[in-house]
Amino acid sequence: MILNLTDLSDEPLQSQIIRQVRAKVLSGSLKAGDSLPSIRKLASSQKISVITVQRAYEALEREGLIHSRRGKGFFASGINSDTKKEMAELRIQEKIEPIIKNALAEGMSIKEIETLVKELLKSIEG
Amino acid sequence: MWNLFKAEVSYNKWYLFMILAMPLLFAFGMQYGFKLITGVDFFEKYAWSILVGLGSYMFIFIMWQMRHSERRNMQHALLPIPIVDIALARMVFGVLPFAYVLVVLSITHQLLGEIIEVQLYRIFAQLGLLFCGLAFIQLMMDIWSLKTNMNEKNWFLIIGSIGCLIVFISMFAVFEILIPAYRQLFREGEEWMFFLWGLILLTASNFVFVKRSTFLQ
Amino acid sequence: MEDAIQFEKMIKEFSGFKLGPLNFTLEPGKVLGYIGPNGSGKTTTMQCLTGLLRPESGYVKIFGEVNDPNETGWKSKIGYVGDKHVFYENWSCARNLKFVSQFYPSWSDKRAEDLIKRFDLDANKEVAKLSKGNRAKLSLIQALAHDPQLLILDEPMDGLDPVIRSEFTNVLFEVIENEERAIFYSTHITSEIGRLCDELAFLDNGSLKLKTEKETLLEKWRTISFQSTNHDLKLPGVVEQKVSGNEFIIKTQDFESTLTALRELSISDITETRLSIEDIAIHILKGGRNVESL
Repeated sequence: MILNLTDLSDEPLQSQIIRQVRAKVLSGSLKAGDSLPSIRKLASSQKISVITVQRAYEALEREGLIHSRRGKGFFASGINSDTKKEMAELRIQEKIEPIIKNALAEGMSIKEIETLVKELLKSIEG
Repeated sequence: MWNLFKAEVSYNKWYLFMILAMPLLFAFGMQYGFKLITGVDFFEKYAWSILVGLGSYMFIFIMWQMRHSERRNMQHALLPIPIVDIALARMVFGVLPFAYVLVVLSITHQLLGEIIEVQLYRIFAQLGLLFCGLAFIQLMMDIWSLKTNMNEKNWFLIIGSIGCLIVFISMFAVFEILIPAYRQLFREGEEWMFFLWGLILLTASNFVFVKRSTFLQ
Repeated sequence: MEDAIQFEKMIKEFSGFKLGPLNFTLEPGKVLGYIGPNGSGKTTTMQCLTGLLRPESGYVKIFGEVNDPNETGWKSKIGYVGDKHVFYENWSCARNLKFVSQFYPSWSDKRAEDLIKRFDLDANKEVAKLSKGNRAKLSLIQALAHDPQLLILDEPMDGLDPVIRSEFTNVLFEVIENEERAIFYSTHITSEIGRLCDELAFLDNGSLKLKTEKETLLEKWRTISFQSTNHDLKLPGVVEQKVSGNEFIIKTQDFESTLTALRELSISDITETRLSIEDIAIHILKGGRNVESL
């Protein structure tokens, strides 16, 4: 498993791991039952502390994306499409909310934001 | 302990070689009667002896200086070796060249010099004196190392104990008064006592070394 | 399993300086960063730990064994890189390593050779002719080649160039892959150990300010900016506060409770950013002396 971690981002290393492993599970590049590197192996290969990986794995486990088996290590969980969708929605919400709030604070109206988003979506589709 | 001793010998092999060679040089010079300084009776006779003696001690001094400046004790204290072994290795390494030089010098002197009779007890006595000197230097070094890493209370205790030790050792002098019988066994027995003193002081210095509160030097 | 290190009420006093009482442990499998300014007592702690200094009171245990310099068990379990690198100066590096190797049953010549290659050290060179960085390398090789259970490193990166630093960090990550190994790492440069450490301990003027898990620390410390007309705010956890008009920028050491307090005051429009270990270290070691107002 290859992760791309950087110290130069505002995002803490722990969140970077969570985000990237989550993307791998949701995109299917990690299939249900695939094994993940052990905490210590990943820490060593990515040059990050054991505690960081440990916390990240714990968070991923809570999200239900991975599970551990005693003495065997960590494995990717099977995610059905409904859950995938829910998760994606949740993530979009988390990201968009502060942006919209920011725009409102800077004096845009709800209407203006709506139009902007619609145009953006159109250009992405086209 | 022998591993440490071997390393010290091997590390200082050139100095040790010079120390070995010097008394032989002396013997050679005496044998063939090379005169270094002529005219003055005393120097004619003893020039070789004095030069060789000083030369040997210079090399011994260099070896100890090096040992100290390279923080040999600290290096060894970090290895999985009991401190006692380090103290013993240090002592043996210190004693050996001294003893060698003295024994060889005395024997050559007695074989080639004017004194015909081999007085072995004299060698013991002189060795004892040297041991005392060595032990004294070691003690001073150890005490100095204690001082640099001590708070005042402990420093006071150490000074006190050393004082007591000196008084205790001085009491051995009393034996001199009580040794007519002893004198019959060894002629001029009080000279022999130096050897005993030397051994006692060396043991004491090893004890202080083991009890050091620091091995940073 | 026994703690790799256990400091128990350990005090070391010189005239004019007191270290401790130190009370903390390091579990196997963890890396502890020991952070403090120069002269805070880091090196003295290391020297007490390795038996080079005897503490006035209290004790240190290494894997359950008191570190009596006359016992050899604990000594063969540690690898130490101190602030002074001591060798037989007129011997080559290889000869020095050979000397040391005979005292460690677990010494591996293969590992030593591997490390020499990785650290790019000329093993045939005489130690006296080595640069400061190369002496540090030799010290590291000597400390690592017997595969110690506990690595004690006192500012080990001193004098190393960036390439070797990175290689050295790689080696440390390999060491800690084994969960029975532990590393005690002292430095005053926090960026050096930011990624490596699981736990951080902060030392200032001889006393331990804080010891905690790194991630906990990073989660708790935040910079928060917000607006408030009320200038008389009493917020918990704040260590630094800057005010300009109605704009506030504060630094907190307890994000959760500061946030709760802000919400109770119905202050919204909060933006928060994390602090680097370096920033946090500065605040902890300064002891919250800089609550200022602009």
